[in-house]
Amino acid sequence: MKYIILGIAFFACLHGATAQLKGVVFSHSADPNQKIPIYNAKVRLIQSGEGAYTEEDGTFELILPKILPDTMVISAIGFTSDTIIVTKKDRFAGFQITLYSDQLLPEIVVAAKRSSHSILRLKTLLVENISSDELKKAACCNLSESFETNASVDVNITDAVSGAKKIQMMGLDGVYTQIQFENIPYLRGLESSFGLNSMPGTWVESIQITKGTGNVVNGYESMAGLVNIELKKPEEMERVFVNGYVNRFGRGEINFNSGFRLGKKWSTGWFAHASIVPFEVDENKDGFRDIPNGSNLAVFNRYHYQGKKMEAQLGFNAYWDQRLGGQTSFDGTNFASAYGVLIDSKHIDAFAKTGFFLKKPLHSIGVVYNVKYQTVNANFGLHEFTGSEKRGYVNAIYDGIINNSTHKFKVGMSGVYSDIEQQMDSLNNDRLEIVPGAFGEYTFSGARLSAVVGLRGDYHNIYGFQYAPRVHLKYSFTERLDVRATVGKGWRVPNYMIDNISLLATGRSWIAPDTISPEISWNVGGSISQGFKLWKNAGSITADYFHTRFENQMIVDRDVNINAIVFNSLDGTSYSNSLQVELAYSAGKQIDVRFAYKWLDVKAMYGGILQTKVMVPVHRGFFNIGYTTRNKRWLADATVSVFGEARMPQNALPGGGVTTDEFSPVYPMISAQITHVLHAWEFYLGGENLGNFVQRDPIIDAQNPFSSTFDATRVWAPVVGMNIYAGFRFSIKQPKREVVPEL
Amino acid sequence: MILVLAFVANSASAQELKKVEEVKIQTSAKCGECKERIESALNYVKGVQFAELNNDTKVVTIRYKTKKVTLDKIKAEIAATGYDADDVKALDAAVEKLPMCCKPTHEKH
Repeated sequence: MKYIILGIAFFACLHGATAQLKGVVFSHSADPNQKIPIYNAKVRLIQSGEGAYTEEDGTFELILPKILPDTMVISAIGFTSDTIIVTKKDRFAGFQITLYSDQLLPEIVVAAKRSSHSILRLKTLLVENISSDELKKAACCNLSESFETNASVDVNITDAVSGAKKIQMMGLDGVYTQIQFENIPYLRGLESSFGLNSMPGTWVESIQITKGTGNVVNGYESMAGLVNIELKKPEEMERVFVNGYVNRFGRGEINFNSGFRLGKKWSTGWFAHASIVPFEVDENKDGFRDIPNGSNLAVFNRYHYQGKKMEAQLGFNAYWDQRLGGQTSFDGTNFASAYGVLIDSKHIDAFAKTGFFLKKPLHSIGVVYNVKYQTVNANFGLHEFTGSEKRGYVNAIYDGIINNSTHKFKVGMSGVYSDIEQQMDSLNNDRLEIVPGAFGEYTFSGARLSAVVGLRGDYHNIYGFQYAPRVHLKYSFTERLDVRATVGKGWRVPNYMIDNISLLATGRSWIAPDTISPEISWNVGGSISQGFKLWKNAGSITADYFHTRFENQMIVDRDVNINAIVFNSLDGTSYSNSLQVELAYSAGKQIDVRFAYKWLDVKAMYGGILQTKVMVPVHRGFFNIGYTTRNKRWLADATVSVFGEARMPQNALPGGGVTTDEFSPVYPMISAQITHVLHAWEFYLGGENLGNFVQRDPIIDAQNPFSSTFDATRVWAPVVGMNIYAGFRFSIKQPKREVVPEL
Repeated sequence: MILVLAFVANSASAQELKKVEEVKIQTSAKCGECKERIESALNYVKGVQFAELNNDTKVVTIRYKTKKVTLDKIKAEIAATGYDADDVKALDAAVEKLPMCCKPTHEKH
């Protein structure tokens, strides 16, 4: 946890001959010219016990103790702590200390960066950060939209009736990316299909996207990537935040957040979200609702305790979502007379985190607890799915250093309890999982080379012992050139029903797998990141390549039988190659541009031969431009994404023929938004799919939804055309806490 | 258009009243919080096109329309925010309201 690199630079700060110790604490920033001071960082001398907090400009002062040398510990919420040996010489010099943002347990991440989207240079792993400024660029609505201005994560519509969206990394389904909420595994199990909707965008403070297998500390399920979501923190979030949103299709949304302090050590945050799609939308006149009607509610309440020796957090989250889709003639109850889609998902969730700082500096113990209960009921025409999951999770981490902060380690144990029940028509898939595990991770932080080496072993009550080693390396060749390499293993137990529930929107029958066994993959990758200056402005170019190879996988085969969707364990080869090149450049203070190109080669055994996975575009281009006026009162941004050809599954057509379009056409997606800032108010107006590109006839045989040729899963582009939305944000900042140093 | 105007205005003779003026004012700002306070106060003054404070020198650069606002008024606005603006001293009442680190009594390296 105490992941530190420090830059001690002596700077002129002479101040008489009083024996005082002075310095400034900054947070690390991507731009070397910009230094952001850390307010309220704790500075403490271990032997003498003297301590102080930094001022708003990051400065601190201490009385130089008589007994020297002493060890000074610098810590701040959301940053990794650091130590410096203080000697007698230091009384005439000042310390310039740089703390780095920490994303590990149990502390909190503060995205203290200016660039709204950036590669975190210091991380050994390739981590992209999306800050709240970047999240504001796509104003609607929840997590699935949060990735719209990002090239690494793709968001796909899964079918033409349920309105569900799923993410993809490296061309691999979202289930192979571990999504976690503040380092707690989050959207898994029953939430793999509709879970992205359960996290409103206005709750999110920042998102970190790690490519490749992540750290071993947070579990075994990150196979293609790891997405960590940081929600707003009680002590830093807005005192009051209100957001309203409405779009052309009648979707309305309201968000309310508030954070405040309860005494000196406690703080609390309250979050509420409600949205509604009240009107029927059928623009392509196929008799089906293009967007399901429905409403959802989400509330979240969190607490934070910051004491001298311990830190604790706890929170409660409840979510309820109901949707009604399908034919416009569907009344919500009679599934026999019209094709209807009814999805009802709910969860309640509680988490707690406790962290104890041990007497030995930079040693601590963190424990995370999470319990969750969720249900999903989904009707797709005559198919009915019911699912419930009870989940418990505990993760205990001991964090320490060996001699100094160059060598750090984490060891710990985890336990997963998951009681999942799934029933789809006559198929049943109930499972009780109990998975105790142990892990160890060593981090070396040298001047140029840094390395994270981890190993975890888990004992699954059904599938036995599984291990997952992971190695990440980073070498800084120059001040601006970083090269990274990673290799690691991940595994998960598939839930073929909920993971593929959108495939119920078809007349094809499902053929269940004979056996279910864990999916296992190895991921190898590397990246080069070069920063540069051009015409006095900073930019960077990053190229990364990842290869994922499955040892075992649940294959969803739409090729072997035109009348069925066949689930089977992998027999042969399955892999993904992903290459991405991204160029980011700030043209002056006001304009930021980003270009990206991605190439995906995802193949597996389908229909007995090795061929490209369906619905994955091989090429994708991305361009984003952001503009801010000099008085910062107007912000504008635009994103253009171009999706290349993707292989399409073959489907039977009514009357005996088959579909002949082997590949989907190339299509663009354009979105743009303009924001006006007026004191505490922000007003925004934006558009999605501004090219008005729509897939014609997304549903095959829409007239006969109960026929075997009906299919609503062949969706490769938006079903609805241009969307225009408008909204406002009103916020009152959290007043700064005036801290009197506790000496 | 504005840029062109500013350029033309700058090269014109001093007697003429320029339409758009750019000035630099030394302030008593101290930290990033001060920068935000001064900039957000000035950016909402009618006639001010933009205000940017240099964090190192604490000099604020302001471009404004001479017909809508005067230099004295801008300085008064800075003073009312709690900071010295060249020769104009900060208003005591406003200084009182500043957070600790922004106050002039606060020691600075």
